[in-house]
Amino acid sequence: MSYYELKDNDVFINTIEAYPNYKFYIQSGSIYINDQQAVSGTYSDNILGVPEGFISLFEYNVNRDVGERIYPFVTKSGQKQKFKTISDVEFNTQFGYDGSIISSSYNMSSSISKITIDSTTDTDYKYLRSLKSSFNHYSFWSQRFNFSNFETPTVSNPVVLLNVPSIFYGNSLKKGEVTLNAYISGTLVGTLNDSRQNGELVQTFGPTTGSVEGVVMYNEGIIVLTGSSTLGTMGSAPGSIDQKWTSFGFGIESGETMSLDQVSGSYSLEFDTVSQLQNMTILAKAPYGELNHSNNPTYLKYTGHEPTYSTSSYQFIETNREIKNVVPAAQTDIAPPFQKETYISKICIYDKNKRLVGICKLATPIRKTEVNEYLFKMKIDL
Amino acid sequence: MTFKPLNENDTVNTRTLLHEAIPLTGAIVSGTYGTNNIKTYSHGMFESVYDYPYLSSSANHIFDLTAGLHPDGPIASTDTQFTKKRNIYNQMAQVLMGYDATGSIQKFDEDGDLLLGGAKMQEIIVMPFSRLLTKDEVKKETFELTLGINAGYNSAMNSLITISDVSASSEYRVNSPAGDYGILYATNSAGSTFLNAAASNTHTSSIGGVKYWNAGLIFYQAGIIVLTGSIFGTQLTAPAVDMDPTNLAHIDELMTGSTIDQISDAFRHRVYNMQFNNTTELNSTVYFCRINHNEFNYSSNPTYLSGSRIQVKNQATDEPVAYITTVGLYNDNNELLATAKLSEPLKKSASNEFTIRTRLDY
Repeated sequence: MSYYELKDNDVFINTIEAYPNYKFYIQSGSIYINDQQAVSGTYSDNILGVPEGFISLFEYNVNRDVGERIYPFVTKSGQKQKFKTISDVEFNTQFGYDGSIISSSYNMSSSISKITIDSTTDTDYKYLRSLKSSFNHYSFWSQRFNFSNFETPTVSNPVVLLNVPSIFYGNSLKKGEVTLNAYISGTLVGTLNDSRQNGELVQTFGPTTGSVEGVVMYNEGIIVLTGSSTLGTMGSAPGSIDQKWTSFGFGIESGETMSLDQVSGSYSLEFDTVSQLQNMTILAKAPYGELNHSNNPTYLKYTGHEPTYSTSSYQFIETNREIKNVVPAAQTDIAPPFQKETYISKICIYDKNKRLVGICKLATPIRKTEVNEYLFKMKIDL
Repeated sequence: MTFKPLNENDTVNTRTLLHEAIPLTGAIVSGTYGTNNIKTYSHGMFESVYDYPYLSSSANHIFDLTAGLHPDGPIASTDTQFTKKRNIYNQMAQVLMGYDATGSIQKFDEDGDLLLGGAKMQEIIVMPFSRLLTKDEVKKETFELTLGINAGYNSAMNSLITISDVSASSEYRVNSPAGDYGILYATNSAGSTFLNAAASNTHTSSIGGVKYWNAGLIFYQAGIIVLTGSIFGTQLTAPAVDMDPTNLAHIDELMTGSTIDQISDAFRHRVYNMQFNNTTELNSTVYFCRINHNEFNYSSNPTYLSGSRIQVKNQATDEPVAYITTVGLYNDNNELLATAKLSEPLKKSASNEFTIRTRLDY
């Protein structure tokens, strides 16, 4: 085995940018991700053990009863390590001394959520106010981001925050690829799109085409809807309800009660995301005239007996042994002329202290003779 | 923003062990999903067990099952899958037990004491667990496998034995190239008197004055269970159990006359329950960022000033105040490496001092 030092030009890091697409469809308070229905299980309506329309973070407890689920735990110690869901007070009071088990649970789930704010005294107004800096930061894209446009919501002109968790979008939502659709009885009545790529959600289909009905914060994964104009009417009079952009996703917010008229309304949110993945490419060269010898015991010809040696007080000398001739030949009755060759089966990567940090295995061993050279290209995702 | 160097007393490395409890009911292994969660391969050298029908993208691979025979055992070259069973044994043994001084592969040893010799396992059933479940390692003294060893095939679960790594947290072995390993011991499950561990039997061990049958080995870091076929043989159970539904073969006949897949199926049929805990090491560095009373009371943020006047001061004699929201960790070249955000801003004035404990997990 030989060591070669990797030079600057042998190692480089690339970034792959991918744009995964997600689609959420909301109807009657139910969410469907990428048009998929949950698979019903023995113990719940979803084998993943999370509500329909939610993704399961680990997908660990597939179709398991509550008592048979995998769960994490740590042993209480002086380092105060605990799960994020456990407060300092709980840590100090609800568990015993060192050695007690602090357990948590899996089946962690995530999906889009909605917050409607209809006054400055609304208990959820704090969520809107906390975005003030971000709103104003993006105002160089469009004046629509000015916080003054949002800071006094009313019942007739509420502000709706749609929150897309970062597990769905990675780095950010992709500009120009965010689309919201509103339907009544399955018929499209309005479309919003950020085709200007400046965060403005412009109506491209519906009664007020060209109007800006909301904004999207790409890095935060937050969509803000303000459009209160009527897109159509759900149900029949009396009791019919207007379909509006501020009604988007009706039913997914806690406390929203679905009436029969509203069941005919449905919504879809589709977006591309930006996900960056770094990978390292390493070039390893097997040069001419090198790597043609192996220290493997099988590299030498089998003699049928132990190797002989001579020894004295100061030396130990083994007799020379013949290298096995493994040169391929078409004929079996004549041995081909001997030449030194090896078969490279793996490449090991070591750190500066010669500690093994990675192994790259070849699909099939490569025959290496003195007259040829190879350049191996290895990739590893970071 | 102000830089303040960290000295050696300000940083400390810590390690946290996160565990997961992994219950695997026998119904998953043989029952609930029939054979839809059992993947077999054309090479016939092992089968894979999933926790849900494997054609579903939600299914997780939980372990593989295979069987091996040592040439010194009851095996003949005419036996079914002779070469494959021998190769499985040798491959597992060379990876898990290593080589002796003569370069020969060590056999699996019942008590792990290689120097004294002792009983060796010739017929083995091997369960390599998925890394998804074992993570960094199986937690010592948490493995428990309950098997049905009633003689009748259809009444397999009428007599149960429990196989566990009793006292392994202090009595594990380190002479394996694959890391630490413990001895698996069989004992009667509650209510069962099927096993009768005679004190003179060479296949027993005494732990805390209690006799246990030596049932196999558990390799903690590798996440592999090696069980001796003897757990179904007459030396542990009397009478020997029917391992096969059709010809009612006993374990020796099964190991030599059946395929590895058939042996694996027969073993699965007798798994009643299984559970263990795994371990994940979480390494952290804690940086204690110490702020004295006379430090970090001003800010260079543009919003700290209004009309060239410090906003938090109403008159010149007011003491300066700043709100700490973020701690930045920099390297020697003042390049930002990491930021730690406080859940809420911390009011800092000349009359108070803080030590902000920032933890970097990796």
